[in-house]
Amino acid sequence: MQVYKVYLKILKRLYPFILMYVVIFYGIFLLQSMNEPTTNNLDFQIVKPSIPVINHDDSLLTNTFIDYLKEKTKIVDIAFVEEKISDALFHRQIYYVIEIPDDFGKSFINKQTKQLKISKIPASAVAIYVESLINKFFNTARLYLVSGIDEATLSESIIKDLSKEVKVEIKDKITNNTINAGYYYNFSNYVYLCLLILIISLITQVFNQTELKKRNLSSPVKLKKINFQLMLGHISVTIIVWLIFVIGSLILMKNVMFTFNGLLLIFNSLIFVIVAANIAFLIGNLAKNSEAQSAIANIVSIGSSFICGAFVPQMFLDKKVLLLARFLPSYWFIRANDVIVSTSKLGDTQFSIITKCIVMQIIFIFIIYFMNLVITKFRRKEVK
Amino acid sequence: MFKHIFATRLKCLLREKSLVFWTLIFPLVLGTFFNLAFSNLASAEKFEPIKIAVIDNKEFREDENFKKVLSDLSKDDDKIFDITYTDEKEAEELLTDSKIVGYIYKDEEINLVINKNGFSQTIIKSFLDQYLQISSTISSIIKIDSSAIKKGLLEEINNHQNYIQDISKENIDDTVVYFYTLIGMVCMYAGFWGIKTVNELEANLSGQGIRLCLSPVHKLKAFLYSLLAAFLINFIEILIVLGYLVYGLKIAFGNQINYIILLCFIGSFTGIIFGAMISAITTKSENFKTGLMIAISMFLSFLSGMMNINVKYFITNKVPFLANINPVNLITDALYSLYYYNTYTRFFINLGYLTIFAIVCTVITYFLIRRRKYASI
Repeated sequence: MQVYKVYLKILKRLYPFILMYVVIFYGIFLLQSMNEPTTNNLDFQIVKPSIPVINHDDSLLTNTFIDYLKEKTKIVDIAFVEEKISDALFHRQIYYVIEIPDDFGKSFINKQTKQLKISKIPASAVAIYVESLINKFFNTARLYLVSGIDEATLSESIIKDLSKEVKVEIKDKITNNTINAGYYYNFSNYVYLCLLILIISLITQVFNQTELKKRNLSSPVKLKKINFQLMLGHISVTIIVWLIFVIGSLILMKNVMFTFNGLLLIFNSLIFVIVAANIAFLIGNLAKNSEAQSAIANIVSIGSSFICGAFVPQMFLDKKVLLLARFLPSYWFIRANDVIVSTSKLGDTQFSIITKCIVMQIIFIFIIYFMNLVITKFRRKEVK
Repeated sequence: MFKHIFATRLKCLLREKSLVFWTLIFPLVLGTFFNLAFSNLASAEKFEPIKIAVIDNKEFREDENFKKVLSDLSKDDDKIFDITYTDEKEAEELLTDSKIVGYIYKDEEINLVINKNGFSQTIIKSFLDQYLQISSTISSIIKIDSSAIKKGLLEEINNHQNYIQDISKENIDDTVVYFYTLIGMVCMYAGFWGIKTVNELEANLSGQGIRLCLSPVHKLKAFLYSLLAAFLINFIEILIVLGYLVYGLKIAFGNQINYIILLCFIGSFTGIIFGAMISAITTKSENFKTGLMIAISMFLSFLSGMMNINVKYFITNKVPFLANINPVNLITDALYSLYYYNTYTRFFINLGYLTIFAIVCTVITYFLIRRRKYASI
């Protein structure tokens, strides 16, 4: 097993790179999941968007309004520095800001026309929701003014009315963690491609150097044995890289990963790493030198991650881009992930899509494998 | 002398194909990928009518008011719902296949059935609540004042008023930041040229360096001229990338083109001198230095939001010190402030920090490479 040992020796030297990608992956993933609201509650809960309210008024009516908003939204405390609020709005930390001007309550009771000053991300769902809350509150208040009641009764009555709610029933019990798991596996598309291409293609190239190849061919070890040990090396690397991220997901999201959906995610990723390993081998065979190799590695991994929806979810991608993406294996990997986490009760429709995606990936494995066979043969002739 | 060294260095550097790839082709390709991925993001943020189903049973058909409210909410351009009227079995199926977000059925009360918690679900509930609430309001008003109807209550109900004055800013497309980090990255990639330059100038780093030390040229002059050649190449590359982003991909960059070019000028210099510093600090191989440079600029780009824009926000707010010493973030933030704000204070603060960073690197490099002479090497 001399060749295999050399393989592992080269692999050991590459561990800082592997570590770097692992750190970047988990860094980004943890930051991303911190940003998502964690609703693991299985009973109905409204999702409360964060809204800073800057209140310059201290009337009973505006206080009632703020109490009402507190029930429907999360009123956040951002220090009132205009630049901070503008920054938060731009970075989508908040989607809506309400500023209540001086004497707004008084002006409202006297039917004058002071208005709330708001900044928003136009046409966003949050803006539509919050605006409906504002309109609901003040239009209800306006109706009460017709009957000419005082401010205290007014506030009381509004709160009573607005507490009327419809009944909600949840059929499927899907939690945020499931969605997070989908994000994790989609994002793993990038590290799998990047790491495997980096390692496998680099090592393939080392053994493909003409001088070294000539030396190896003249050694008493049979070519078949050399190739077998190299293959064993590639398989080991693939499994190690795959396991690093699978075990990571088992630790981070154990309540999801041990369900049927979780196991499907793991299985799908196993198929994908095989595709990725084949791609890596192909690049190692094609690239002329290590510089070209790292250029191709970066473009392939970043490119297919962007186009196929590893970074930006497929549902947000342009239709034409997705059409192009269908020609790449990553598309099918990510599509299957998306379907797997879409519901906890997978029906026939979902199964047929998942099967199709996995079959497509297997087809890619065969195509790339045969390309590799042809190229290796061609290369061997070149050496001879 | 200037002409000779400058022209020769230009030729030498341009023959480095892999450097040209990383500093020019790679950013162009990355920009194209960004554009493919983000082109639809701004419109994806827009609210889309929520798909729901309504069970068309006896109770529903008899409730004229509720029917009218639902149909009002699902017509015109600014509709909230896309409604399918159907029976319970099909609604159930649509929900399982995620074709709808939820369905409504009416018995004595109004009920909403959904698959999971979410914001769309919250919106559906909010609008259904509103229907219940208005009925409650009307009946309690009549209780308080039985003459309310005479006073025009019913007219008031439909007389919705606007209590909002919109003072939002106009430029709010957050995907531009990704392209700004790209410019920051290209500036840092200038470091590759810096590494190359110092490597071929220092006697303890390369054969060319040894030869150059023997020639009757003042070293500082040779260094400056070579640096100038590297700078010219990188600055032109940045202008090409910038031109591609602005004219090819139509990315918004604010209106102050002079300020942007000034920023790229200083940014490009910062990158080169940073690379020169790295090259002068260690005698390790050029490959090691290039790898180090890639790792550093990737990490700095990551902190500036290249992989996820929230990282930039997080760092700026929680660890502002780190944001202020990160050249990629300073360049990104300067471009962002030109795009988003009408004032230039923040732009010049960023530019100031960037200049300080460049000066510190220059001073360190200067003390590292000055007066290094060898009797024998």
